[in-house]
Amino acid sequence: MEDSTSRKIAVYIATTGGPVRVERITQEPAPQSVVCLRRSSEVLPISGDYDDFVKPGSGVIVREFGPFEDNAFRLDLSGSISAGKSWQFGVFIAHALDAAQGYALAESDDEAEEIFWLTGLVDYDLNLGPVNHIPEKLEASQLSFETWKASGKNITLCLSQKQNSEEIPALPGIEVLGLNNAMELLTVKGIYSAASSSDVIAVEPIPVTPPPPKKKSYKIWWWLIGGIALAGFIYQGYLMSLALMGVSTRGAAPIKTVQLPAPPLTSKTTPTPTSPKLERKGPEKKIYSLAESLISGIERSRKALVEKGDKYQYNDPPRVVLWPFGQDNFSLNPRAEKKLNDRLVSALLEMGSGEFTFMARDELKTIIEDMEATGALDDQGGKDPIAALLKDASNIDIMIKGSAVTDGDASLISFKAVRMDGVILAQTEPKRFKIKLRKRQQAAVKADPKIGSFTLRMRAERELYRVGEKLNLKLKLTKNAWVYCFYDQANGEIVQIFPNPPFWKSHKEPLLLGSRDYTIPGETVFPFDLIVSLPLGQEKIICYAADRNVTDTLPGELQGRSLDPIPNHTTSGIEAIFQGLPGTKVTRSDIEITVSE
Amino acid sequence: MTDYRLSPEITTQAQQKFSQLMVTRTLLESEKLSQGVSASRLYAYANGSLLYPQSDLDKALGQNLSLRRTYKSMVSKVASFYLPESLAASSDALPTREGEGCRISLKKSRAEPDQIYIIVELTKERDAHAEVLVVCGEDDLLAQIALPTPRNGVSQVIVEKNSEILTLLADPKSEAYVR
Repeated sequence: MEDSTSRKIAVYIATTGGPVRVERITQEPAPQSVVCLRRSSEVLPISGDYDDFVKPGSGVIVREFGPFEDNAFRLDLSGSISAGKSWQFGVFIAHALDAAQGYALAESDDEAEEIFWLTGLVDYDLNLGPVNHIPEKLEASQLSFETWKASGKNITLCLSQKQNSEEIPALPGIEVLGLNNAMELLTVKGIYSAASSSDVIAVEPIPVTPPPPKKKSYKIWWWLIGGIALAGFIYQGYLMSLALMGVSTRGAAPIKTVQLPAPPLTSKTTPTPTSPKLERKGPEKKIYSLAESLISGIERSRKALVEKGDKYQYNDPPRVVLWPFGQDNFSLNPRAEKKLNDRLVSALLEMGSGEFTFMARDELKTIIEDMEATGALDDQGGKDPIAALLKDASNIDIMIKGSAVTDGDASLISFKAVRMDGVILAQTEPKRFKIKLRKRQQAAVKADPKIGSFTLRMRAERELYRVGEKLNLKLKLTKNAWVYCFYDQANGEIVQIFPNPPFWKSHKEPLLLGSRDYTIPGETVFPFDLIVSLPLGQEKIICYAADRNVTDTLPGELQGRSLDPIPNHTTSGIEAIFQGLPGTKVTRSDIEITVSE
Repeated sequence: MTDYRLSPEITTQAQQKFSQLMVTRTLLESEKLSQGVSASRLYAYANGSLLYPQSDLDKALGQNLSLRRTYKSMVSKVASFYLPESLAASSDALPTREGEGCRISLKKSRAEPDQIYIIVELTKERDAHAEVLVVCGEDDLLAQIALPTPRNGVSQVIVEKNSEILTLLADPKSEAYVR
């Protein structure tokens, strides 16, 4: 409830692209709540999740701060948030301020008396859960922190107490709070006494007689300037205050603070000396982060594989190439592609120098062009660069392959490091770059007409899915065919999703009818949900349709008798098996999706 | 000998029909128009196998009246819902449109009065196909917009007050399809 004397607080949601301010909350006469970008008609993709977060039953906003005349809201943000749910804490606090008497959301930094920088998941009981990418979010907020500090703003950085404290470096001049419950911030900041519109956050005295209140704790880190200089970085020692208070989410109590000595510095908590990584900004920072993920992922996987008895013979040092982006099945602007690849190579060279030999991209391109010219690529199906290079590029150990999907006016780009036997050694999480794909990538991939005389078409609702979301696919054939579908996970495991054990209980063969739309999952053919889960990255669903029942001809592990990962098979190997079926016309369709936080 | 004179309305309708037939024939025979639009591609766009939007097709539809008519004809055959023109002109500035199994209403945003919510409600089959809203005006104008996946049978988008699709939707004589 805003009036002229309201205390204005700017609420920022931490994102890996920088902090995003909640500009405004308005009740709307629409059936669903929406999140819009900068007061425009552009509806952000998190709107569905926001609607769930608001509405009674599934959400907490109307329950905690309502009832309202209209139970739908429009939330305007200063920047885009395309995925994840770590916005929940910021949005919750923004609604609390909007509902509280004497408080209001600041419409600009200038009018803000205090700035909240928030990230965290809020569950149905208002527990504050930890989130990923804290270091990236902090790095992306450095400039904003400096600006806010320079203008004398009070800054409070607040996240879940369950968050790994080692992820949080010294932040001089910023109050850092680790909380168990979303309501605790309102209590700590004294906002509860003003939020009279809801009895939920009204003050209630803590009973002194039994039953004793449940003790909840929260941590406050006060980072104070210390005197330790580490290679150009002044490390601030810090004072940790641990506050214990007897408080339920409906009440507040005087805060008792206990001053603790600063914990000993360990190699993990000590800030590193000035490093190029910390000085990088924007896209450069993301590229170095991608390179770091790839290098560390490759090293980790190699070590783990050796411990399991892996006998793969690498060159010494291993030879790594970057698959040219432009050769993939999406269309990146050639200049942007070159710039991106070149920057990644230079980042890889800087981080992996001495441990790997990086082959020039042009050299790889020449090999591919030779293969295209000689038809070798066609022999491999023309689609799978790994399979295509297997025979002809034996001097390569590891290939780094990029993928991109559209994400609003930008692209989510990720990379995979794949050994030449198809083993995935590293997979990066997608990073958002302000690069537009030359044309919209289609989820539906038409079957190669050279392979079969009929077509199999699959479609997904979209290309980007968040962890926990249901994946729905549409599948259609132009004539009756026997279908086999596989899910290629980001971690390299392949699961056969059709046919499957529940299907075999009521069917004798995986025959699907032409000219009929099938939904995956569905009630009979695919009687289970496909829930997108970790790991993050690029995943693929591949379906093969054969013009005869080949179930008995396939190896036992490809007959759909189990939903466990298929042992000892790669997508290239499965492709080869289907293409090699005697006297059978086979067509294929695949969909790539990106799994994000 | 019978002297039969066509009324101007019938002449116009006949010209339109012949023009439409000619374009359809051209599409089917040559597979390509000058804009490079093939019949199969246009049909795929109409039935949703080709995802919306496709800038080249949208451009061609904006420029070629006959192509628009052919496209409208295709959409009318494959659409999940048809919301016909209103029988009587509504005085309501933001009219609600009813069809079999579907309702479209318009609501002004309280936060931004120049923005309007287009609310598509699937009243019978809540999980029916609803990806694109196509609105065809009286003068063969055509506008379409992608719909987000319906949630509990409701799909809503926000458009600017002066957008073409809203102008067409506000016209009671326009026809709407949800495909």
